[in-house]
Amino acid sequence: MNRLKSVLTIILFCTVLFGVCGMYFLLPNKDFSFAERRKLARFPELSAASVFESEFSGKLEDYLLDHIPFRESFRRINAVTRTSVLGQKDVNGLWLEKGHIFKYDGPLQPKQAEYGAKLIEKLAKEMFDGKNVYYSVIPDKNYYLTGSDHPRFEYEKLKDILVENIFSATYINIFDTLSLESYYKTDSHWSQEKILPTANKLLGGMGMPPANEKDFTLKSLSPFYGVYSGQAALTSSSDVINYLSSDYTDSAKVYGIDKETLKNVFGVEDTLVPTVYAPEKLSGTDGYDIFLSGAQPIVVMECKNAKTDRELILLRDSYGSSISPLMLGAYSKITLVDLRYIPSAIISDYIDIESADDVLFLYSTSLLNSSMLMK
Amino acid sequence: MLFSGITFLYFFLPVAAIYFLLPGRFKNAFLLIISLLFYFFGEPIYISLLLFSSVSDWLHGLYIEKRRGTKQAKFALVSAVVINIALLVVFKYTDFFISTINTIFSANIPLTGIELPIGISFFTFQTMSYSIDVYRGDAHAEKNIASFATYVCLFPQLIAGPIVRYTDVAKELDHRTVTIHNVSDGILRFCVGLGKKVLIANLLGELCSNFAAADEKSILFYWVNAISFSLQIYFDFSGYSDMAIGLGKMFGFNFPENFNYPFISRSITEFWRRWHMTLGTWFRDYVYIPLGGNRVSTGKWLRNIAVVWLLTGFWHGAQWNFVIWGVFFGIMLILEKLWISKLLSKLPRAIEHIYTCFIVLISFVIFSSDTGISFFTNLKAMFGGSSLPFVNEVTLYNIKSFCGILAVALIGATPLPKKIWERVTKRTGFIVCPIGAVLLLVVSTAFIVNGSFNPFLYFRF
Repeated sequence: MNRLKSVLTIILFCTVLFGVCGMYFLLPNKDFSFAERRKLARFPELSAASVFESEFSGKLEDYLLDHIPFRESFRRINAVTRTSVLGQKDVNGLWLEKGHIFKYDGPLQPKQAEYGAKLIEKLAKEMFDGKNVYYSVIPDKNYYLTGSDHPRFEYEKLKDILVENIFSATYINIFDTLSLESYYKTDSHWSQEKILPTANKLLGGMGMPPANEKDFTLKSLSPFYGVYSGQAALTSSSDVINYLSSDYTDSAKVYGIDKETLKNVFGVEDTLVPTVYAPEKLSGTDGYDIFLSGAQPIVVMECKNAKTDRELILLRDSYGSSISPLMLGAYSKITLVDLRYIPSAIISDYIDIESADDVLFLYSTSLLNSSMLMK
Repeated sequence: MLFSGITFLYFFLPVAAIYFLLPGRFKNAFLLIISLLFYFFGEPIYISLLLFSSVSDWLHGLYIEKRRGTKQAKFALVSAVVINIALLVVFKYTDFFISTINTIFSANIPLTGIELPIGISFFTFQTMSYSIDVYRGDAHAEKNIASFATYVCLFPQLIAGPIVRYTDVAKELDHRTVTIHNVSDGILRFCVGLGKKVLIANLLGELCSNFAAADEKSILFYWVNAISFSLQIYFDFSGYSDMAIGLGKMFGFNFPENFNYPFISRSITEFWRRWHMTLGTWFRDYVYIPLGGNRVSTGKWLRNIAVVWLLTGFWHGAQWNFVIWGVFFGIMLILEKLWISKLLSKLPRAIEHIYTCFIVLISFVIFSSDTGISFFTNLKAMFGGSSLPFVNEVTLYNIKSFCGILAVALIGATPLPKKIWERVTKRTGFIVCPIGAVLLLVVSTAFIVNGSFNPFLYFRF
């Protein structure tokens, strides 16, 4: 019996050891992890310098970690062991509750929030002087999670900081237009088909006609694995990504900064598709990029058959990509600006501020809590 | 290279397995080569120090044996010890002394920036013990430099112990038997150690990190952090020792045990007979006893204890908190010997355990402090001197999140799991052991993949 135990132990141990080792050589290498939305480490350069500066050993470990066979399975084992066996409340700050994956981004950072508020005030007062300037805050879905014992962000304190520092813009409250079901289960963003009331609250706050539900046709794409599903490895569930198409969105002219400037000045590749919706991007690195091609410094949507001639400048983060198409019928032109990718000091070189009537700062609580990302 | 890294587990170990295919006469050479490769991977420059220390003590050993009983032998011994201590002082303590001088005398001497070579505190102590043992006649000088270098550089215990003396492995260096039972037992021990490090110690480390990052702390959180850190250190270090002992066993070596359930101790004296045993016995045999031990006047006995514990503190790190930690234990041991032990013997066992755990907890608060005096702040907070609330939301959340792993750690620090394991595997060992080993390996790998760099806490020594 003892001998059997010893033989089995050696065989099983060696099987795992040599099996995993062998798989490294047999399985093809990947450059990108769709689950984690990041590039995987490349095999480090082997040179005398890299070896003697101990760079090679560290980078080799990173490479082997990134390319371990069955990486996603190992991550799932980790998540299940932590939550189901050890009873941990979260995995890397993420947890599954009421069918949703949540993430706690950390406590309120008053200095960050103050920076963001002062930036909004400065731009509203100086750059957009004479315009109708508004601001609104998008709560993350944690706001609508009740009865949970997970840490809770101080939303009210954040709002207080904004109110104490922003005087040149009018606040539009949209907290009461949303619920937990307004958000994707596996992603941080809201679902477009659920935020028509939110769009109308913003339009109403800016004195614009509301969008009519009947103008839109629902289209669906799946599966959509949101950003949280890959980070946590807690569940294999996915979302359906719905988008609302209308005559306004279908006929809109969409453009951004020219390719050369993007490359030479901003150092980024041109990924903008000249349509409001890009369904083909569902299978890309981030399915949410179907809305206005994802992260862009500037995107302009022109709608010739809009209900008014008014123009809107929307300073936004990624949430703005999915709500702005719902406001397209009200405005003949919406210019979206993302201050994470273009410094505020130079936006006037790239957009027409003069002809704009309304300006809306629309930011999520997450971004406001890391405002120093905005330039 | 870390034992709990992918490079070691799935590349180095499979290559090391070639050892089992080699004829006996090539085994030592192969072990030496892969051990040097192991060290070179992490310290491509300072491998020269390891080789220098090995050659130096080998030559000293030969000379001492040839001249045993003479003044020259004594001189050679002093030379061997001074060289090893000089290596330690230069590479580990230079910047510590410079910083201290700068602080005391408001000087501005620039720091050298010398980096600490991995494992220097371990391999210098090993080679010193060899020279001393040869001088005392407790060991014969090894005439084969390759065999001696194999002993010094043996990768399982090279970078974080246990501190293996030459006499522990002399016979096995010349002749050792590798049986499937030893390999299997070694695998199991290795996997248990890996699990202790990756599944318990690292998770407790996360709790300590949450504490450090928390803007709003509480008294209870300070206590939870102190308990977590104490257990983290234990599982990290004992886990590593298990891996080293397991690896040694796989290759035919029997390394000494390093931990024996220290948290079940009933006195600090007993604690240090169960915690990092190879270091404790090293200081006992090479410092305490040569100074006279307790067979001297009370004054000299107190001096001997003070010297040993000052050095023990110093050994743990080039920072004042480690020195204070060592001195703290020295004082506690003296108090125990003079007074506390007599009192403890009259008290129930539970009180003895509580007293010991309390003192150890306080000691690890000192051990974990960033600076020499920040532990005052931590201790003050623990005992309600910082106007913190007793508990808050963040504390409760972390306790709820980590209560599972804390429970596992607290139980795991006792002999209970081993007793249960022995009972369970009496009849079902043939299936439970292999499955258990592989389960630990796979789940530990999963945790390694999820995390990133997870160095051993005792890596700094």
